[in-house]
Amino acid sequence: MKTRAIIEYILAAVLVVILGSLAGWYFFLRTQTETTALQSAARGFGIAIPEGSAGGDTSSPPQGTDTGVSGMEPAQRPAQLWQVEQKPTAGHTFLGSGENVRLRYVERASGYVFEANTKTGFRTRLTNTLLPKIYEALISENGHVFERSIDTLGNITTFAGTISTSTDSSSASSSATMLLGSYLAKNIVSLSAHPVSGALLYTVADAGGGAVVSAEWDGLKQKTLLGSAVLSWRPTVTEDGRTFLVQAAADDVPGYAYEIMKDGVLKRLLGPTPGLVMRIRTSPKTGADALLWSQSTRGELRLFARVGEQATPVQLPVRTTADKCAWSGGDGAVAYCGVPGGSAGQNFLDTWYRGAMHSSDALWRIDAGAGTAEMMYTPPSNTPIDIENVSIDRTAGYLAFTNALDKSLWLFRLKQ
Amino acid sequence: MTLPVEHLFGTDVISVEARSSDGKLSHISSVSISAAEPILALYENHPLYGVLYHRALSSATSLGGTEATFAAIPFFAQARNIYDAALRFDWRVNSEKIPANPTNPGELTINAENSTGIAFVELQVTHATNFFLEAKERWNITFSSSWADAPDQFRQSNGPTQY
Repeated sequence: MKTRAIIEYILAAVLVVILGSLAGWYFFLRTQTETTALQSAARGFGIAIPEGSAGGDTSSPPQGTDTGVSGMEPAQRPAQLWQVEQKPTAGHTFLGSGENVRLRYVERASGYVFEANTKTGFRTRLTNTLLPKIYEALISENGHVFERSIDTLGNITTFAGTISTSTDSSSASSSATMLLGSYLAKNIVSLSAHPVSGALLYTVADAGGGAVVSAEWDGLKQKTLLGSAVLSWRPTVTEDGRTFLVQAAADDVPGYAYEIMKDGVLKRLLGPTPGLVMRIRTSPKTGADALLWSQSTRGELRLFARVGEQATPVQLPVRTTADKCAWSGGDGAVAYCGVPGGSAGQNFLDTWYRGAMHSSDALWRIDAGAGTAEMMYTPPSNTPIDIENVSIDRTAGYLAFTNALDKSLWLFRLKQ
Repeated sequence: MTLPVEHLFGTDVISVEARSSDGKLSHISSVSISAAEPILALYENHPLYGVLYHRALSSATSLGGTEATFAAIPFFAQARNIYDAALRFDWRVNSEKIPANPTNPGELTINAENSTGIAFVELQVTHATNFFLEAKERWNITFSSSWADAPDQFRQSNGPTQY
């Protein structure tokens, strides 16, 4: 009887030890699982992948927004000055109008096309075709995208593409599609695209110097408009299909601006003007083209405007280069310019083009008809902005530009 | 009329004379054109973004990381492009002559790992046939071992983006 009691005690003790071990193992595993889950959450595992809405928006608002919106607004709208993309970009344009203005742009590193909603601040990647190191991009309103880079042999490449309308089925988590297209002729030195159709006007080197060529967006139907010993032309196609050429500018070097008439004759608009940079706004209805141009003489920048061919040019009370300006649509001859603070310094154009000097600009509104200028916005002192590549949407509600310091993309709301 | 010019450097005088067929009327006019002096600029060739042409390196520059590739651009040099075989690039780093990269002599890669992180870069660009072309420049480049130590504009974006 005593032996049996001892065995029972031993079995009970073994049972307690086994149950204790199992309980300990359970709590150990639970602690480890919780730790792993916390680490995974910290790394972003298990968090819902951002899904685009029907409008292509993301599900959370951007930083740096204000709340001055109505109750019906689904998200906060961006601040008046919003850094749309901090990483370098290659080009941008506005699409849509009124309540549906979007800013479409190309990322420099990948060549991906993105779109930012100006009202909600949400950004969506539209394409998934990798085209690395895009130095310049042009976008037309009908969906054509031109991405320019340099190949390993030093040739300038130009890819002309269209954003595909069918989604890649292998990428279920993204609505991005392919950028379908082909490469145009190599070594297109400078390029302009029609803002709507994407029809091209470009300069390309040939044996005699350079040729100015027009073509459809895909490079077909090429037509040489001009053969020139000068290669460094900057072409522009306006929305009404007119074509303009301005010589690439340099400090103190006389430059000329021309319109290429339909019969191929060059009609001189400006020049000789030292350091000439020009922005033109054509007016098919009135025929009164508006010109905004700058000159650089002995290190001094000056800005002029003329509304109508016979009008007397007026010098505007700001010192900047027209590279920092854009005409506004809508009524009136209004333009917006970045104006360097303080003195721009000697040989500003040359050093600025080389990336050896940057300005810290304020945004000014130019009334070319009245010959006046008023300061609209000065960025905070801790946010130096060197304005370039300015564009304005059709309803003159938004202004986009690149910061030449880092090629980041910014949006400024003109209408409150 | 296009006038071929043997060498772009120095000063060229171009003259034109207009004469009537009987030689009674004539006039000569000339213009003196001085070539611009070459200017050497150095840029970082970023692995993602390519050559950062918008950010020329100053004579004293700090960069994040321990390795970087640099691209030199001789503005106003007599060349079709940077790969023109007539251009001669003579690189020196901390006074040591560095053989130019045969495929891309205008570029130089420096790895500052296991060193003090300071590179004194000198470059001289000459032309194979035009002995008047000569451009020299020097840069003091400090590499910091940590990216956080150097100002870098390519940080993460500041808003949501759908990828």
